[in-house]
Amino acid sequence: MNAPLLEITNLCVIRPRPSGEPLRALDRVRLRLERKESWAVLGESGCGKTTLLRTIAGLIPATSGSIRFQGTELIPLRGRALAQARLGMQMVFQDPDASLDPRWTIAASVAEPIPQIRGAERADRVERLLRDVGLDPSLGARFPHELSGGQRQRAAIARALAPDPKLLLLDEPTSALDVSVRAQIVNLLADLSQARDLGLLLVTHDLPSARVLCERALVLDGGRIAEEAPFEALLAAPQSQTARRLLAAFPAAPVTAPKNSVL
Amino acid sequence: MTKPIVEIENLCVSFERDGARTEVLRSVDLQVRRGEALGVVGESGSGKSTLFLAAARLLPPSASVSARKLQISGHDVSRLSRSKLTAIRGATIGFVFQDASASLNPYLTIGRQLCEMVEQHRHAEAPRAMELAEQELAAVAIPDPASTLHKYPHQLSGGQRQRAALAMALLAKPAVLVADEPTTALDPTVQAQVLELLGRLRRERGLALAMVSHDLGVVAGICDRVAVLYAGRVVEEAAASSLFSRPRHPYTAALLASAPRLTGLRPSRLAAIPGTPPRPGELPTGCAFAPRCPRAVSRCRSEVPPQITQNESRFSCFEPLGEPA
Repeated sequence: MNAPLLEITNLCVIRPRPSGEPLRALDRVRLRLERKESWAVLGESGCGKTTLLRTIAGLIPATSGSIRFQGTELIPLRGRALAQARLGMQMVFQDPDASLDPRWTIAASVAEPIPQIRGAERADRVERLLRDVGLDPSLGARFPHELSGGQRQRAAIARALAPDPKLLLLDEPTSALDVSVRAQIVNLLADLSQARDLGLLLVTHDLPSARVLCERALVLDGGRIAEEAPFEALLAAPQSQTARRLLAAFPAAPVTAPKNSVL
Repeated sequence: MTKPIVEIENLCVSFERDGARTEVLRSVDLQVRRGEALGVVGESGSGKSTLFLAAARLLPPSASVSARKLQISGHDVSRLSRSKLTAIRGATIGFVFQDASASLNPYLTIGRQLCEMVEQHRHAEAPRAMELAEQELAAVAIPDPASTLHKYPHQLSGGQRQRAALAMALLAKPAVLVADEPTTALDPTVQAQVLELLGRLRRERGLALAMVSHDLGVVAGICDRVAVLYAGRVVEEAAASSLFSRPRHPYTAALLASAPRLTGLRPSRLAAIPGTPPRPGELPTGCAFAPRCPRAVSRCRSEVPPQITQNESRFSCFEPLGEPA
């Protein structure tokens, strides 16, 4: 079977507004993400990129259209069937605290998505997940507030990986982190997607990170697709006004790379 | 050399929490000169935001602040009474923060708030105050300034709110404007516009600017000089051009190397600095960057490196990178 990992057609999210026309948060969006493929979703605030991610994750109801994941149409599904179909996709938020319960240990939060695995096997699995994201397994016994921001985001990624997903939905996963830590998380995601054959759908403002992680880019404007292109082609020759504006706003690098670099 | 507008010498700030004292800034020296734009770069916990709040004595009572010298526009800030301090504050040092809502009152119209500033610092009454407020909104390039005066903060976009907060700070005619992550909450396109505006205001008005940011890219385009903070200390300070082309401190160099670019071939990974910045109160002995530093030697882990001054720049490191040619 050669179904794409994720196929979205004519997806609309329309919200009524007290005055005037209803808001078309997503307007006939389509995309076809193959297995192991990674896409960046780019655009200014309000363009619909986070709405797209959240609609795919089931956090926002779609008004119309189709979302097929691993060949299964998700929109009509409810309850247990939906939860089952969606185990293969997991979300990582900008703020790691969105997925870590402050009253739970890191190990408990990481293990939560895999209730069917118990006992020693469960502890083993958590330990392996923590190692995979570059955390010392001893940190599993700690609480979120005892970890740095970067470590918390690693733990949130470990939790997302627990059900062995095929697709990660990433909503600005590095923008809340310190600059010196961001690159570590981007590299971690690059390594994990390679090692685990993950598909990625990355919403971000951070073009350089998106460039490292993603082969293709989808540019949204006002809920509609402004442009879709291979990432490098988008950088070299953006076709839409929206993409040109986004690229022009990228602050020019301070200078060329310093001559006496240490890294 | 022109007399500095802000002079900070040996500034130490610590906070008391749960009976323990946490040092946030440790013997910091810094100057902002007339008409100059100084970038202060650091990560969270580096103390970069505390620095100018301490200089303006805006920290809460739980902070203990000591300094050999703390002067703004010739006023000895550490000795001024509360009332005198309040009277001169806006006119000597103005602030714009990441979140413009921090400076704007949601219950008052923009015009009302701007007029308050004019009345307090420039002793002009309405309708003259309203006129000045409208001019300032026009100067920060808010579209349709006249109608903006009658709007409430929530009726403005994020970028416009930041412009209005900037207009408010500027109305007091400060000698130095501290912009603390002024564009971090904004969209990249709006961010570029606000940065351009700050650069223009600086040129046109000879305003001294202290730009506090975690982002080297943001300060690069606008600042003449850059100070890099790590764990409460200035680890390097130099003219922007020399700091960016020939950093001496390994932390500066590592930040620059990890600053992402969009040019050249597609990298498969980003250059990353290992580890995380230390939390305040959990500092290693010796140089705070040593545990993450690729150049660290044993001495770096036991002694705090002294500050070395060369020409117009300084850095604190036992194993600095090569000297500029």
